Amino acid sequence: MSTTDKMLFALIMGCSYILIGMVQLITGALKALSEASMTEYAGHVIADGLFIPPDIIAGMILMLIGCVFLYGASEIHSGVHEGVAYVYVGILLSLIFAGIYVLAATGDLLEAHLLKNEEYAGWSILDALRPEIYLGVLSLLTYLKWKDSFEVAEN
Amino acid sequence: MGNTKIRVALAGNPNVGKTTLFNAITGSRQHVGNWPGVTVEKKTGVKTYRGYDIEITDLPGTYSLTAYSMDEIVARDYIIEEKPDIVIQIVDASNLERNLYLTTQLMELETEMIIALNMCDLALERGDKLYIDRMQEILAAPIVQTVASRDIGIDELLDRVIEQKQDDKYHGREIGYGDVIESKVLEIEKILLTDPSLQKKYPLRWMSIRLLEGDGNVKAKVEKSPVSKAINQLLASIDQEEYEAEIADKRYVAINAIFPQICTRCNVRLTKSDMIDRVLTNKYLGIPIFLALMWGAFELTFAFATPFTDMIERVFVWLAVNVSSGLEPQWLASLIGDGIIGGVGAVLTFVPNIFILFFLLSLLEGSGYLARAAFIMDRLMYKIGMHGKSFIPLLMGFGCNVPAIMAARSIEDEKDRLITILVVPFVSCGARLPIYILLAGAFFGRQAGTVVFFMYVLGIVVAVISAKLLRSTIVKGKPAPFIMEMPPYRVPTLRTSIVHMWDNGAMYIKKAGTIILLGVVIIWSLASFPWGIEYGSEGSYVGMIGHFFAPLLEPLGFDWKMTVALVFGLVAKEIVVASMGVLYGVGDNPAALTTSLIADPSITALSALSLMVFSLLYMPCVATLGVIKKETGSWKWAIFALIYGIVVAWLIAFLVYQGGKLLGY
Repeated sequence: MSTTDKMLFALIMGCSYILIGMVQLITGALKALSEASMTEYAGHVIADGLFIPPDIIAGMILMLIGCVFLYGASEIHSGVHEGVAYVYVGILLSLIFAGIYVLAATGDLLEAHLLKNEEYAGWSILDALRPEIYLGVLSLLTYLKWKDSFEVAEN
Repeated sequence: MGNTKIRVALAGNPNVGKTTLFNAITGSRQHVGNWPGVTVEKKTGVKTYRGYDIEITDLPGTYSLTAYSMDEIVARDYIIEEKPDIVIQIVDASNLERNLYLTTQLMELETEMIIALNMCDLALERGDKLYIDRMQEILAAPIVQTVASRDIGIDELLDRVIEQKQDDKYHGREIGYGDVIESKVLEIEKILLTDPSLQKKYPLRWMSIRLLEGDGNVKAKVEKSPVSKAINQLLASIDQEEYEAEIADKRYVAINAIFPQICTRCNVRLTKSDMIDRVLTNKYLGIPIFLALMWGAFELTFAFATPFTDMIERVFVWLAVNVSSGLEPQWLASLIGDGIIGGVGAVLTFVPNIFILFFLLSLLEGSGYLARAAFIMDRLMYKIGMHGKSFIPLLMGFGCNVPAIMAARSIEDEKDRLITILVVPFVSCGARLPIYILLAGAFFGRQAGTVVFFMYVLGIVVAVISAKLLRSTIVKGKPAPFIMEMPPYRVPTLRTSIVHMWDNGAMYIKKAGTIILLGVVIIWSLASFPWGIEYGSEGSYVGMIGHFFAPLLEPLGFDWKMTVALVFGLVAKEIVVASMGVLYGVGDNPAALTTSLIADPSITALSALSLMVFSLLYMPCVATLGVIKKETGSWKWAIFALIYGIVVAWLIAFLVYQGGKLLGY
């Protein structure tokens, strides 16, 4: 797989993570400031459509992962071949945070269906879906495709 | 007739897989203690193999055998004085050149040596070529290739140990230091030879070299000898610093001559480990990524553990209702239901969180990431007046402050060490985690993980600000320079992570059955007396204690029950939660502690936050105070840590509570 493909991938992922992270951060801040309910805060239509829960810290982390991808894209664009390191680590971070939320969703699943906890009444798998997970799936597919092409020979 | 015993010592640089190899050889037949007279951990184990009892001693990891740290002194004194049959040096095959420095020093100790070339898979994967036969020839020691994390090469290593023991001939090589130094070595050796007791006990060539290098520990050994006067006269006639530098230089010359003959790199590549390092140690991204990963760990600790803590909580609620309801007399039912089940149960509820957090920290440590964390924090640490090495004890403090304070022994400079010891208690240990989980879970809902994360961040921030304060007031000076090794990244093994998790988690469970059980019985007694009083009421002894201290803590938003919990938490922080279990989870229809707390009008989200802050920062537990006294050699610093902790905790909790009230919370 060529370095240009990696650069394009990093660019797309970087922009996606940063944009979604910004929505998550801003809606999180708006919700915190307005003390509104989950469905009433400003910007909830966009956020709900993309399964983005209002969450300041998680939003900052998405933006951080986006920065790692964009840093890599920028290095590759400038001819620094080692910039693929940022693409590789961006994918790893993406997978780590996807894994964290998949495990958190497993916890919710147990609460809802095994323990029948009232707080989780009506919980469905869609409630667990969030950008860290669906962007993580994208990273996973890419990683499986490129996993052997990441090491860089130094001449 | 019993098996023949072979005594083997494991030596090596830190992070070469020494403990992994020790575990792989000895399995569960281990004994952990301390080296005599010091608080450096000593691990021994026995392996029965081919009719031999091989007794293994895991020496502290060191880069050299000078006398700059306690670890180095312990390692070399063991080899010299205990004279193990064989020393196995574990060498990181992917970092061969640097590991050879210790090899050159071990060779001088005139001991039988075997080299375990560990992590060969990483070296080969990187494209290195290792010439094992040539290595054996040059170093005059058997070489065994191992991958300890996957049990590869262990049997072959044990076979070599037995062969070496049966052979019983000393094979050794020496480093030549050039005519000038060698003539001085000979002169000193001649003098030392005149004392038979020294000759019997120590390798004289090694001793002579160390004397030329100005080793204070070796000088002290010679001081007791009749030859000390002659030795001192000779040493006074030379520039020891110059000799020390020259000797180190000659060792590197030897290593540079040996290395190309035993290893070549046919293909220099940027490995995945190098790629990860490039990003994780990036000047701008390194610290945010570290914080993000730590936040992820706490988020997961909370979110994934919730169903398991709920299950345990339900079991204890069931026990409290069913066990105590059928018991007579009533005081016994109350002791078991309100006291033991309520108190110890409240603590045990959080076992899943503790286990998950330790498992995640173990993954971070086992992957090699925590060493990077120390590296990326070094610049910041230096600016605030702390030594880069201090970050490791601070991170260890997440588990328990006691071993973290002991770990500060690896810091050579006394002032750096003292500052580290005094600020480690601010780092949130595992015992404080249940307090946050209980209160954050009850009052902060889905944001609980974030609140817990910020408690840990607050602990570190207060620790570093305190370090800066101490450095600019009572412990003036600049931190010493910091050199640190970066182990390669590895996929942590499940076994190692589980063992680490179990070691720490089991300590928590053990405390629940000992000191916490004792604590809840005392609190229950104080809550039940004087006779005839309503259990846990304001008229009970515990109520009196609470009301006595309450005026001091009222400005922080605490009622008398919270005050009692904090007073008893001085013994061990877990008792804060246990006390709450005893004092809040009371009545004929005991509910889960969380529900009782939410229902109590005297606790708000703000006072809960203030309580978390105070619990984090107020004085270290009794065990930590004891170890501060032991490590600093004075009660003065232990008392200082106690008073300073209480003052800082009170001020910050006051700011949180009163500030929050001003903001309308």
